[in-house]
Amino acid sequence: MSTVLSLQSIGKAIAGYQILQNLSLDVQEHEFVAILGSSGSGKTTLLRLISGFDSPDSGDIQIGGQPVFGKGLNVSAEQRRVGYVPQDAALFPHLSVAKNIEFGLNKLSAAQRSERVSELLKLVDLVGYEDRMPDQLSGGQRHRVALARALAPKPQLILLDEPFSSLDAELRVRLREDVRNVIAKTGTTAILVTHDQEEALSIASRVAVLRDGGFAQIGNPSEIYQAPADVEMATFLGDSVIINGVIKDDKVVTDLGLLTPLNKVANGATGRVAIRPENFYLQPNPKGEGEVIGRQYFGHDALVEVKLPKLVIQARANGPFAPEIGMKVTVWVRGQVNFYTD
Amino acid sequence: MTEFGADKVIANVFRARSLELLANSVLLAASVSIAAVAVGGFQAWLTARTSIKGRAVFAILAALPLAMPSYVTAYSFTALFGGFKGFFAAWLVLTIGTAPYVYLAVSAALIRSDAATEEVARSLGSGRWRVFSRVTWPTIRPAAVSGGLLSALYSLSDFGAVSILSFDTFTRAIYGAYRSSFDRSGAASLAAILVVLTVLLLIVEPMLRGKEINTDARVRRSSQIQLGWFTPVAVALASAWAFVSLAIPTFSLIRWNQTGLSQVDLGEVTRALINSIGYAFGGGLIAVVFGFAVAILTVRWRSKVTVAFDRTMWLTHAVPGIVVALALVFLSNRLLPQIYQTSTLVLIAYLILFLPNAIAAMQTPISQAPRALDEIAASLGTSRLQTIRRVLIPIAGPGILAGAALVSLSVLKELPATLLLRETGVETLATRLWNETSVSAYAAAAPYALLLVVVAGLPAWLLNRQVRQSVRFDLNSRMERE
Repeated sequence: MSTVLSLQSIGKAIAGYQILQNLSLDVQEHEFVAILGSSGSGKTTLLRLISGFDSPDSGDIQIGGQPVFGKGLNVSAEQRRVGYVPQDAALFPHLSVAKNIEFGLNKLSAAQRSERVSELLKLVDLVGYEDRMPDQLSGGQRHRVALARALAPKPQLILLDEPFSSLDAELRVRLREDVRNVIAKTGTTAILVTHDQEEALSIASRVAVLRDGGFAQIGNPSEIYQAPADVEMATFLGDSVIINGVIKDDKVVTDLGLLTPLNKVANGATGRVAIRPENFYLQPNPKGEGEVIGRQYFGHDALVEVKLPKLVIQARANGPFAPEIGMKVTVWVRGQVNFYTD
Repeated sequence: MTEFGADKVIANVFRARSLELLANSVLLAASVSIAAVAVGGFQAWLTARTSIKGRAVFAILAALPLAMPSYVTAYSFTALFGGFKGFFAAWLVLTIGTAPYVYLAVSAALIRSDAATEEVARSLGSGRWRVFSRVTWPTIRPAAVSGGLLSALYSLSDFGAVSILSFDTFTRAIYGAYRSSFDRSGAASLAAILVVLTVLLLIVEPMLRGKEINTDARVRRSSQIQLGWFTPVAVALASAWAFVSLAIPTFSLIRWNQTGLSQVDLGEVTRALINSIGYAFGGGLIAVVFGFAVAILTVRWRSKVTVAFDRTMWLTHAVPGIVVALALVFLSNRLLPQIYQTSTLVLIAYLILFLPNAIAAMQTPISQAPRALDEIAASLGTSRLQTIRRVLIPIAGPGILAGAALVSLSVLKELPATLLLRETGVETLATRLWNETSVSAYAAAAPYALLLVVVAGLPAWLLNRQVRQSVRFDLNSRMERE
């Protein structure tokens, strides 16, 4: 497998603020990488540097093994062969669906162009929409056309800038599936930026978490979720209950009892433990130490607040079996936990 | 520089005559801008915020005087009232000409502002006056002050109206000095003072204008003020102004055309019309070509250089036409005597005078074509020039064409530069009107005045529509984004 994109110690400041600092990333062929970050973390800036709309202050960029930015070199956006799907689709309002898709194909003959257009229309499931104008399309259709337009010239890399954020929840999930399938079918390497962790975890083969101008953690979705690199990551990616603990005989001594750490730890070390709400098990027990004091019901599951003698925890319980407010329970922790030394 | 030396200029600048002209010009500019803000602001408030009947009609009546170039208004008043001359006459005519600009700017600001904030202020116990001074005024202040300044600049650079109404300001004196003597240092020194005055106004403006307040366009709502006992007073005031600014000039035009049209030399009128259209087309075309290039540069490739270019452009826009014309006379005499008194020089003057208008007219459609589309085109491998051809022009094309038409039509009614620089024997509608009026041949001037109103009416109508649309367009684009 070859490296499609290589970012080496990228730095970028905008209006005096250091947005990105010493940031590096390699993306391999056929990978689908999600860059996850809160708003203002520099996700979109990073995409614009890769696509060539903006230039970094420092660092090197290689695309398809060719340097496109570095010492004295800055290949312009139109020569980088990087597809781009922006947040609001940005279809050319004066061109029909077919004309939008074939916009980047002006080097091909008319026959080849129309063949490629019908290929793509089939791919994004919009056959019969060739002559529609952008204002006659629904939100999801516009995004599929934007995707087809970006894929038409067969770019080596495609960038998706929060492409689903303007859609409603149901459509977002469906379109996410569609996009993943289309990109997988074409074998295109893709980078998606998003602030939605569910989106990042569900669509990507690898997730890179952008924080304070650099990547705080890069890994496959389950690594990212189950083994956050630090306490901040544990709370940034979904909820976690954080409690203090001390290591004694390879176990973590906490207010919840003895827990088994996932990582290697030294005897006597103090630190904190992060436990996901779904890793608690609540056993109804009239003599239990815990008392249910809050309950948010979501249907498929419920978030239950349990008061223990020394702390309050939040646990996720299966919808039908979630204990009611006032019930006494015993709290168990399932599996191993992540221990972060102070 | 043998024709005049610095000492001579300085001697000219400090003559008593200069001081008199300075006093006249400043007095006129100040009184016109105050009156224009009062009249235009009142009309805007009345039509945008109150519940009086016939608001739509008053809105049209307020913008309609734009259709009449101020020298045509001046002509129509003098033609009707023999002794209509001097300060008051110039003040009235220029206020009629400038109040619509203030009206358009302030009503756009009022429509943009959120009336709910006024209601909140009232619910917090503020009276009418306090609501106006603490809530409404801050939102319309930039528009009102800019409108006032525009009116002052307009008065300083106006040549036709003050000349027809025999009120001595710099522009009229410059023309007189230029025509009456071979020694042009007198005209040059007066022009220098006028330019200094103009620049001073431009420097003061940002300080007076205050900060632009960004209103939240999504929650815009309008509430109408019930005027109560003030209704008849407001209606009377608005009607009286409409009578003075529209009914009198229209009546005068119709009356003089009854005699004028029957004795007119059709060939003469046609020739003037053709010359005017030729100049307008030529001037419009070069202004549009240069304007398009500069507008793309300033909108799409913003850098320190292009921003500076943008700013200086507006500086030249404020320089009176007669000063530009005079400067071109000097320059062409020195450097290129062969273009003196040819149409080439006239076109150069038009380019200098109307380039800012052309740029402004084209910047709006260009900036409304989303930048993201350019970037998409680039990511699909399209070069910058191709992107302009394949994306920008198809999207912004209609707006660009409208801008071009607008500029051509404003070129058509230009008077001072045409008067000074035109080829010998070439007469346009504006110069014919000027010639006939200066010998009090009001009936002979009437057909030209009528044609000029028709010609000027079109850009005025477009401008009015543009202002109204831009308010709506703004709203639309926001609603899509949020």
